[in-house]
Amino acid sequence: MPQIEVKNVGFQYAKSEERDSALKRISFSIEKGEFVSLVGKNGCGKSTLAKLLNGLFEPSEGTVLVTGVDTSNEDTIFEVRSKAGMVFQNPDNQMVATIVEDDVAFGPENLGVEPSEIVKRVDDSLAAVGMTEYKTATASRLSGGQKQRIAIAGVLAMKPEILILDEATSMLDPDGREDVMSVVKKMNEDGITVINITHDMSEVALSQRVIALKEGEIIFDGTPKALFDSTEILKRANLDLPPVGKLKRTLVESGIKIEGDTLDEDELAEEIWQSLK
Amino acid sequence: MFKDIAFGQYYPTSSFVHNLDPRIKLLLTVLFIVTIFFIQTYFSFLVTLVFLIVVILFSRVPVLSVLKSVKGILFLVLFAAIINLFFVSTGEVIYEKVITDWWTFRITWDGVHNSIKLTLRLIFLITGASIISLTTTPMRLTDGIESLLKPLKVIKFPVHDIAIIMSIALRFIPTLLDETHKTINAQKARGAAFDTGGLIKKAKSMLPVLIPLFVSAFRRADELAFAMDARCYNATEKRTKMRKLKLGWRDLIATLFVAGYATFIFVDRYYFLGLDHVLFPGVF
Repeated sequence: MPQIEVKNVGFQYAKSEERDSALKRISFSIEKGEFVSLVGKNGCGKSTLAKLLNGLFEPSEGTVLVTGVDTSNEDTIFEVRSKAGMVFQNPDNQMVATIVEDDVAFGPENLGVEPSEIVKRVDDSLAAVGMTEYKTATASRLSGGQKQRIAIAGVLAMKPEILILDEATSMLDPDGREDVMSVVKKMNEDGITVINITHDMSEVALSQRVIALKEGEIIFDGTPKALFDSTEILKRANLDLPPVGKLKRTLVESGIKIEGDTLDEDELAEEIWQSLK
Repeated sequence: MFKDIAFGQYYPTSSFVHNLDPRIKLLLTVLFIVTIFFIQTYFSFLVTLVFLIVVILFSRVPVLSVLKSVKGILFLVLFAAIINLFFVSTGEVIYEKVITDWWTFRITWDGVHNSIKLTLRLIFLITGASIISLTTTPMRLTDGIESLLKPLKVIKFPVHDIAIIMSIALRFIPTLLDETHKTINAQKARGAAFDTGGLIKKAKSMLPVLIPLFVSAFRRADELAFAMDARCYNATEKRTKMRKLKLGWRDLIATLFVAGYATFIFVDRYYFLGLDHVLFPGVF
């Protein structure tokens, strides 16, 4: 059974006929341990889809199953939300407490975890995101990247199986972005399913699978490589190649042969080196 | 512009006072404040001063940061003192001048004593209150308040909701202050003037700052609500706390110390009835 199953899901914000549906009967499923990127231009329904995946929104039609549990069932909603943790875009608007450790403890406190176990989870989660030394720091004084790592720690403390990032890096500087993505990559290697909503094509290159949305419909579902190779889909989804991909395409177009299909900077450098030899 | 706001002014260090249970600190602060209003004699004020110095020493907070919060209310203190000086008309007259048929300007010894005592009282009150905010993190303070209000749950008072509202409010003070600065700068860049003109003009010039601030505060509230929902927030009994408040030997010592001080003040007021006459003969 797939970990997440989206079956014929439609979603409409206001119950009026004039407004277009944010999502139009889409279906897909995600297996445990996958690293999926969700892309598309603003207003395509990415964030709506994210909020449907952990029961913050209830689908207008169709069903969303997370680990087999229906997200529109009120009684099991907290089970869904604790399994599918979510990190939002603005680091300032998702911190509940003034002190870092109190914020990380918020999730497990809500779940009614034993105090001694909470302390352990807080320590473990902070260690996992590399923020142990900031345990008693004032959250508002941290940098954006650090705040987002705290937010991830807050999700980890609930022992989730799925991590949903809703443009979690879009307000960060390049360093913060890199820190957050390396933490996310590590989480994924530890077996947590990652769903990353992003505009950044370098982040897409990190994932194993991309789902591209346009006007509430899925227009692409495949590997990043396949997406980057298809100029037509990139154009339709209003997407751009990552810098590495752009460089590769330009090289190929000017007649330099690049054999592999890498999207990694270092590997590409190596290949260029090989072709020049 | 907002630099003087002394709120959430926690001074991070470890001390006897820092490590007290926040509930005890809250209760003792209330006891101290009540006691201050029972002080009658200058001798008691002297004792209070010594008491506060001892507390500050044990809190390892620099005296300067305590005085800073006193500075914030200096204007209020001065105002209250002057009102007292001019409007208390009982006691031995020092200076008198008939201004109109219905009002005689008069300064009396009672007025002088009243304003001195009021000044001392207010300064001590702020000092006492600032010690608790300097030595307790806002989170522990809300934990303490939540725990103290627990009995009200019997009458269905939403104790937990109030506590979470308080801690979120505290959490967003620096964020919103930051945003205020940014908005002010953005409006200044467009030629807005905040420091010129009369009071009304100044107040009006704050509108282009306040409106965006309100709009953004609502947007933040909306996003925070989603974030809290996503982290399974629900105000039910099931919720636990990472930190359990525990009373220790320190709390007992502190309670005895403050209770001892309060007892002295009450005894001085109701039993000695003015030790001042003995200690400062001739003045009173």
